[in-house]
Amino acid sequence: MRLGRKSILSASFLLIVLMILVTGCGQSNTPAPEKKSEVNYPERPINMIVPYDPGGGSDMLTRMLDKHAKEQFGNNFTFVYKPGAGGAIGASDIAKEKTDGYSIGTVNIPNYLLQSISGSGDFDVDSFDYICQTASDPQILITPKGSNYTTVEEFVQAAKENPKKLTVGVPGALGDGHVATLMLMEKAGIEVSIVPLKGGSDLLSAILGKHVDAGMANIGVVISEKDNFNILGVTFDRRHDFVPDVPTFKEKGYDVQSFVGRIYVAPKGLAPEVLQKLETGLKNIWDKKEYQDDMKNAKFSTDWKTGAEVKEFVTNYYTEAKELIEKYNK
Amino acid sequence: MEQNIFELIISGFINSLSPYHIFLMAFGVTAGIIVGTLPGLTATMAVALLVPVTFIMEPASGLVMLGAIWCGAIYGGANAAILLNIPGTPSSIATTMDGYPMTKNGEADKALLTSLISSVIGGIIGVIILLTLFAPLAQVSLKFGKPEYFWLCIFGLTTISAMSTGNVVKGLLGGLFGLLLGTIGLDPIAGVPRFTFGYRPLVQGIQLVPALIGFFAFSQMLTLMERDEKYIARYKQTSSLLKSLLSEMLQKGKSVLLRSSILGTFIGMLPGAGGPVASIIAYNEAKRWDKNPEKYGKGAIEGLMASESSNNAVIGGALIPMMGLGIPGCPAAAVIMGGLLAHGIIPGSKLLVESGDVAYTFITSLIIANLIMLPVGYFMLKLVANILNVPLYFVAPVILVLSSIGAYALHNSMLDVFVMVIFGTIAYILSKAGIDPGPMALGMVLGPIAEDALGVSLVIAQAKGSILQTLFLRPVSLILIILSILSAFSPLILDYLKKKKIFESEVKRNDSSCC
Repeated sequence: MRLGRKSILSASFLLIVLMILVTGCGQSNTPAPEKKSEVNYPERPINMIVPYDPGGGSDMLTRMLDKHAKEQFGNNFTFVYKPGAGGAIGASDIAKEKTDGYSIGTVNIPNYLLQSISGSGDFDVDSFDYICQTASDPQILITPKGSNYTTVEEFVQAAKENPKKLTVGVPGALGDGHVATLMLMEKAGIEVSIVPLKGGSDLLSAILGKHVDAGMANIGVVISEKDNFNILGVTFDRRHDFVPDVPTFKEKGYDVQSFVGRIYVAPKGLAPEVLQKLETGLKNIWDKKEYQDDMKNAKFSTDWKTGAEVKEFVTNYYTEAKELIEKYNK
Repeated sequence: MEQNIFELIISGFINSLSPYHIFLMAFGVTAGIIVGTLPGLTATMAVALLVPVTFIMEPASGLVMLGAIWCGAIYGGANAAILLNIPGTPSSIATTMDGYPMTKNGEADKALLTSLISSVIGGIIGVIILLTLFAPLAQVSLKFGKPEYFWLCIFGLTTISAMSTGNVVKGLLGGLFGLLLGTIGLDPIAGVPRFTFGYRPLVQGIQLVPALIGFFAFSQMLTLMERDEKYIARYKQTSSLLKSLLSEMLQKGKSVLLRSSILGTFIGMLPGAGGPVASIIAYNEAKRWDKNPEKYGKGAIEGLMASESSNNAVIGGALIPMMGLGIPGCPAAAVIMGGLLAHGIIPGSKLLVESGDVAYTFITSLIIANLIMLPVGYFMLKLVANILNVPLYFVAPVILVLSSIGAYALHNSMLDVFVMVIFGTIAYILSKAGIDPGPMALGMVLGPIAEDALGVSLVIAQAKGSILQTLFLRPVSLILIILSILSAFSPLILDYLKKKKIFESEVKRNDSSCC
């Protein structure tokens, strides 16, 4: 009797194991689940790779999206920080991730593009699928208080008369401000000495301390001190909300368009449905008033671009920047 | 306006003395000391970890806590430096030079207490300078251009010659090795990778903190394990030390404390320099002004006082350009500035007009936090000193594990752990040849700042057409150049004078014996 009970137990155990095995294998054998997982995407939390330190700008921006991620994607994002080499290490990790839609990340235009050109990143424009852009931060050309150059015309005139004599601080070698200055040089037919400084704060102190003649700075970084320097022009396709009375370079006849764009990307090769779901979900968050207010409070200017628009912009920018760097940085 | 600021200061004090804030500060200081003591966990990291917590607090409360953590962590770095010869944070590199010899001499208690009191005094002096003079000083910090930074770093590097009396050549070799390591990574002017040997993660360079953990912690543990000793040092708790120590500090070190604190505040307010540079320069100055410089490095409490008071004074200094100009003076200040921005408070020239109450609560709370640090730190140093009573075969493996975790935690990257092991091994081998990790660390800290400053100066010089004008003929540059020359050659001259004296006295003696 006892033996019988034992064997029944073990037999039923075996049966259960078998059933699990059969159902398990059965599922993996049929091609249906692949599609099913796309329909039900996302079924689990999405990893959000941030190629910078926690607490930095990219982290803060993405955390503001994350506040509403649960409504759109069923779960909050799982934040993965991969800082180092100015974002190049994390961007390279994003490009190498699985294309199942569960690993996406944030990078900055044009930072990662320039890393690709300078050789510090092993990726390029085509290593990513583009989800969207949520915010942008164009550059402004600024001069210290008391400077002789208070308008784009005066600056260009002086640079023409004294080639290579004017110093223009930029927040990093081969960074966005550097390329924006090269664009201005190319479009205006001038040459200035570019002074690569260590980031926006370093540039701000060089301008306030009058150590450089001018600076090509990101609006967001220096705007709080805007009464302490002159703003000559903005590198945008339209006037910027933060400085509505400052003309764009385009208005002055030099079509310089450059900005830091906060974009969301995935490794190349996502299923189109998944990519679309990500873009729609993020757009829904972006449209919320609470998100817009959060961004405004932290001095980020929201600027939506679809994945397709982002891709078009970065492709053009990459070609232009590469040509300019090869021309001027011999 | 005067009245207004006075009122703001008073209301700031009242605000920061509320029980809730006192609790936050006690928590912050304690957490900071623990983080600071652990090698690899830096002050910046401690502050960064807790910034998200402040999002749910009132802006002032959040800042009060962050400030307390920062003070605690900078001080806490001294504990490991004194007891284990491992700087807990980069700011306490100079603390190891006299702190650890004191432990070896059986004076661990005295060293720990000296560093606590010096830290508190330095911290308070820094904050008082911040409170009273930050608007004019912020303007002064702007006068410091890249050429001045370059000479400041050179001045810092001359410390190597003072640090390694007896064998300057070996000190210089170590320093050069450190400088060499600092060149790996992105070229600051050209923006392209160099010395990475095609290995991409090296683009970011050899990170300072894992290398420091290797230089000090890893190699120090190897050295200790190889010796057949049961304990790191003999340790006996000294009772009623406080009173005698205070009078000794007052008698010997009033000027050292004051000078180092002022130096710390000043260097702190130069963006990019920060705690490591300040403590090294303050240490060097203490030694130079002392009548008996040869006692440094063997356990002089003046050296300890200089390093610890200056690195805590850096906190007040680093907040000067942040409050006055919106330019953070060091990485930890940058993190705090991020926290302010997230609350919609914009640091800079309009801070006091727009959010003066929050700003003054924060500044005054730093004074209170320093005072709270005294009892909290006193209690904790009694605890940590007991590590000397733990047999070495327990201590060494635990420190190695903690160091590895610290190195990994920096960027969640195994590369940093490998950096620690590789450079720890190199430092261990070099120490056999009599090359200390101190100069190597100095080279690594100062090299990149100096290179960047020189590169930018040269670009500007090229545009303006005169290297002489840009790099040399500026008042601050000239002063720093003269100081550097004095600092580099004074040990040699002193040596020469001493030998001459001995020689003369011998000659005299010979003469007298002759007659």
